[in-house]
Amino acid sequence: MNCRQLAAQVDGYLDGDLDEVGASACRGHLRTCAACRDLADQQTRLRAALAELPPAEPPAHLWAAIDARVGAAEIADSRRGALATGWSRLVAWLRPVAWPVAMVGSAGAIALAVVQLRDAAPSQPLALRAPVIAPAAAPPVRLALRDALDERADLEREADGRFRQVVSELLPLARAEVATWSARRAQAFAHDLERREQAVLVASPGHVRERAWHDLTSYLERVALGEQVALGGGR
Amino acid sequence: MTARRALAAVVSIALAAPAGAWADDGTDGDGDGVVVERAEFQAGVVGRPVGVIAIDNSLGDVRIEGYDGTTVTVIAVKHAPDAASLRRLRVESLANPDGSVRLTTLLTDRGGAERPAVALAAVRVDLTVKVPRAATISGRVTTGRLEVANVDAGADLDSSTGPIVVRNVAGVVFARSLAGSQRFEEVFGSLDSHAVDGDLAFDSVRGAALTARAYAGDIAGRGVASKQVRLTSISGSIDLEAEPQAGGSVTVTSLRGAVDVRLRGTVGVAVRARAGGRVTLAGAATPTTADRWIEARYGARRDRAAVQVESRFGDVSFALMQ
Repeated sequence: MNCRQLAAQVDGYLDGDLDEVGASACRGHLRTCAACRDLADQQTRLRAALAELPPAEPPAHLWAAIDARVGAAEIADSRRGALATGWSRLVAWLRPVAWPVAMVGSAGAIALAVVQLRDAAPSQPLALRAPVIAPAAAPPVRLALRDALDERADLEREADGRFRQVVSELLPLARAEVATWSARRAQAFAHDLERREQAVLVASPGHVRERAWHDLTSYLERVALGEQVALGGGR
Repeated sequence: MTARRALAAVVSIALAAPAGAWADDGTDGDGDGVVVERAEFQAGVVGRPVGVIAIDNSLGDVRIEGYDGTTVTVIAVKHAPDAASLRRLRVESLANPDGSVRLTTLLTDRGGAERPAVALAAVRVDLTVKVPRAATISGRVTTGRLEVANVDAGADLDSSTGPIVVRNVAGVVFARSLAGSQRFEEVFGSLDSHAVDGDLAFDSVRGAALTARAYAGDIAGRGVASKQVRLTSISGSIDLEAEPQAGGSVTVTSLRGAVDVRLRGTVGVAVRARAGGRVTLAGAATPTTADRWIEARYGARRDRAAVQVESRFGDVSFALMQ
C-alpha cells in the first residue's frame, strides 16, 4: 500500500468499514509512514470534534421540501415504464458494489437508458425523469444551540443581576435612613452591610448565593423602612 | 462523620435508592417526541425514624406530602426528548444514619452521542415525595413548583422563579423566592417569608409570628391570626384581613404601595397610622402626634393588640370588622 491508496481508504479504515486484509494493510502502512499517521491523526481529531458538536435540527420546511421531492420522484417512478423501473432497480442494486462492477453495470445501464429514451415522451425533460433520491437513512439531526447547563448558568446570572439591581435601589433608601442614626449605629450598619455583601461574593452560585442575596436585600428593606434591626457592628 | 457513620451512609445509598428505583422503572415514549421514565423507590435507613428530608430539584416540580407512615416514598418522573438526553437526568438519594435523607436531581455534563446537548425546556424531573408527618422539610426548586402539604415539623423552602405553595403545615416555616409567588394556607406555627418580585398570599395562618417581606410583590392575607404579624413591602401593596391576638401586634408597612388593613375579633386594639397619601381610620381623622401619626383605640383596654399601619408614599386604610 502506498500513501495515495492509504489516503483513499483512511475514512473506511477509521470507520471500521474495511475487511481484515484491508485494515491490516492500512495499519502496516501507518506503522511505517509518519505523514500518513499525521493524516490519520488529523482525521481522528476531526471526527472527535464533530462528535462533540451539538446536534442540529434542520428547520421543518427543509424536511418538508425534501419530502416533497421524494414524493415527486416516487410519483414519477409510478408513471414510468417497466424498463425505467428496472433501470432504477439495477442502479440501486449496483450502488453498493465495488466500482469496477459498477462500471460494467453502468455500461449496461447506458444501453438500457438509450432504449428507454427512445420510448420516452419527447416533451418530458430528462432532468425531471425519476430522480433517484434515497430516503433519508440517517435520523433527523437535532439542533440544540446551547446546552441546558449553559441555560441554567444564564438563569443564575439573571438572578444575580436582578438581586444586584434591587440592592442598588435599596441602598440609597437604607442610607437615607441611616443618615438619621447616631455615628456608632451607622458604623455598625456599615459593618453588617459589608459582612452580608461578602457572604454574597463567596457563596457558590445557585440557592446558596440566592440565600445570601435574600439576607442582604431583606436587611436593607428593614433598614429602609426604619425597622429596629439588630446591629452586629464590627463582627 | 466517623468512619462507621460514613460507611453506613454509603450502604444506605445502595440500599435505599437504586434497588427501589430498579424495582419499578419504566420508559415510555408518548409518541410526541418525548421520552418519559417513571421510577418509584423508598429512601431512608430501615429502622431509623426519618428526620430532615432535604430535596433539591433544579429540573422541575417538587411535591412533598406528609402521611401517617414511617418511610419516605419517592416518585420521580423524568421527561426528555430522547433516550440519550434522558440518560443525562439523574435522581440521587442519600440516606444518613441520623435519619436525614437527601434527594437531589442532576443534569450530567454533555458528552458525545451518549450525552447530547439538550435545551433546558426540553428536560424535566418531577418529584413527588411522601414523607412521615413528623419529618422536617427542606425543599429547593429553581423554576418548578414547590408544594408542601400535611407535615407537622415545619419547612425551609427556596425557589428562584417557581411558585411555592404550602398547605396544612405546622411548625416553623421559612420561604424565600426571587420571582416566584408564595401561597400559604392553614399554617400553624411561625412563618417567615421573603420574596423580591413574587406576590405573597396567606390564608388561615396562626402561630407565634408571621413575618412577610416583599420588595416589588404584593402581599395579601386572609384569616391571619398570628400573635406577632409584620408585613412589609417596598413597592407592592398590602391587603390584610386579620384577627389580632391579645397582647399581640400587627405591623403593616409599605414604602410606596397602598396599605389596607381590616381587623376582626373581640380583642381591643390600639392603632396608629401614617401615610404620605390619604389615611382612612375610623374614629380618628386628624394627626394626634408630632410626627404625623394618627392614633385611635378600640375595644377593651386589657391586653390590647398594638397595630401600626403605614405607607410612606401611598394611602392607608384601617377598619374594624364585626
